[in-house]
Amino acid sequence: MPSLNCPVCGASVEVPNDALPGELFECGDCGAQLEYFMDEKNTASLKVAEEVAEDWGQ
Amino acid sequence: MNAVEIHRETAVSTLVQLLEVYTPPGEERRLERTWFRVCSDLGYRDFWRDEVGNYFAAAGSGGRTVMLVSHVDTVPGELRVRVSEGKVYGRGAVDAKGPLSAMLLAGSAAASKLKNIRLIVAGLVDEEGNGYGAKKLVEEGLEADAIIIGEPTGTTGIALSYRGSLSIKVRAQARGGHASAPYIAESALEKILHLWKLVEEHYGGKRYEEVTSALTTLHAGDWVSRIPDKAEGSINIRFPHPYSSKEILSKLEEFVKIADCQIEVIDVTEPVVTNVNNLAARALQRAMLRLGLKPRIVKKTGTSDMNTLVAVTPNIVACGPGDSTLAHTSAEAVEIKDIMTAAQIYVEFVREMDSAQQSL
Repeated sequence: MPSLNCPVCGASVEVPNDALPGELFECGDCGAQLEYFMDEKNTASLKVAEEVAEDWGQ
Repeated sequence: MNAVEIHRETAVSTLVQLLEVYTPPGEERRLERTWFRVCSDLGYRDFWRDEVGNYFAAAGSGGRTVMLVSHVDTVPGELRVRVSEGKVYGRGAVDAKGPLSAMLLAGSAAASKLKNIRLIVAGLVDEEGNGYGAKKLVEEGLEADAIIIGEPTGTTGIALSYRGSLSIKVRAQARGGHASAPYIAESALEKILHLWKLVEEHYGGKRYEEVTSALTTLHAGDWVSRIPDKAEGSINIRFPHPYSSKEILSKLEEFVKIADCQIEVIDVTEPVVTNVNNLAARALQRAMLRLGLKPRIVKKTGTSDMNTLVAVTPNIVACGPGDSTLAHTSAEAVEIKDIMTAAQIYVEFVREMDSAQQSL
């Protein structure tokens, strides 16, 4: 299971081997929502996910 | 990848049949014959209604249990059911017979491929009331390894958190008096308004992260020149994690003493927060990505059966078709294509859970 750095706090975030680009993970240290990202050179990294949206409910 | 085909006619027919039976809380039994007919038409062989009225349809016989859970009750206010310009209209089209129909379609489509799980699609009762259907399942010791709650999240929204809800009835008594001499009178109505002012000042949040409050009913007085000696109202307070109903009730008790009122708790639902890494959230994201869709994380300002069913498993999220701003409105309608896409997402989710190597 590879480790990638959280772009917010720098902590190590473990990402499963079978992760798909676009999958979201939460940093265990700072709680940031992070998107698994693959650049054009096929290098994996994490970027801050789009802002969490509010929605209605019952 | 090859997405499973969901037939448009079947999707429309399933949803329309569910919508044509008007089922506000307390009247869900009216759906019984329709539920059994719909399940039979979709090829389910195992379907039933439990003693509190919750509806179920099951497929597969594996050792792990995965549930797709929505609700069969709707808010009161019947609407004409119609299909027009790619949309299905009717009370519950968004909240939540649309999501429920997509779940039934998905279970039917996935049934023959299941190897390791038992899939249960459930339509619970009283979600729009006090959540009795879900609470009863928890009381009875329901066991499940992963649950998706079918609520409108715009199809690709994944709800990981709902706020809690506290509903209270407020009562006040006073001497009353003549409106011509209010300085020697005592008003029960003003006592309640005093309490409401205290609540609003303390819990008048404007954002998801804050505690919000609403004065929802108020009854007092019967004559223009008589100061009321009795008054009654209701207050609903919504609160996010990590607030709890206990600390809010404790504060309310202080306010009640100051304002000389009495309160009665009508309903308590604690907030829920799950993690984007939980197994259900992950499988659902992967299902969307495999279909070329981009998952979004949403947090709900309201409550749902997820607040209750998180007691069954931490592997729980809410996700479903429909624009939640239309829920509870007279314009309730859902896009047919969204029902079909949601059904495909649920099928891929079920496949992902069925093939998961890790123990849940």
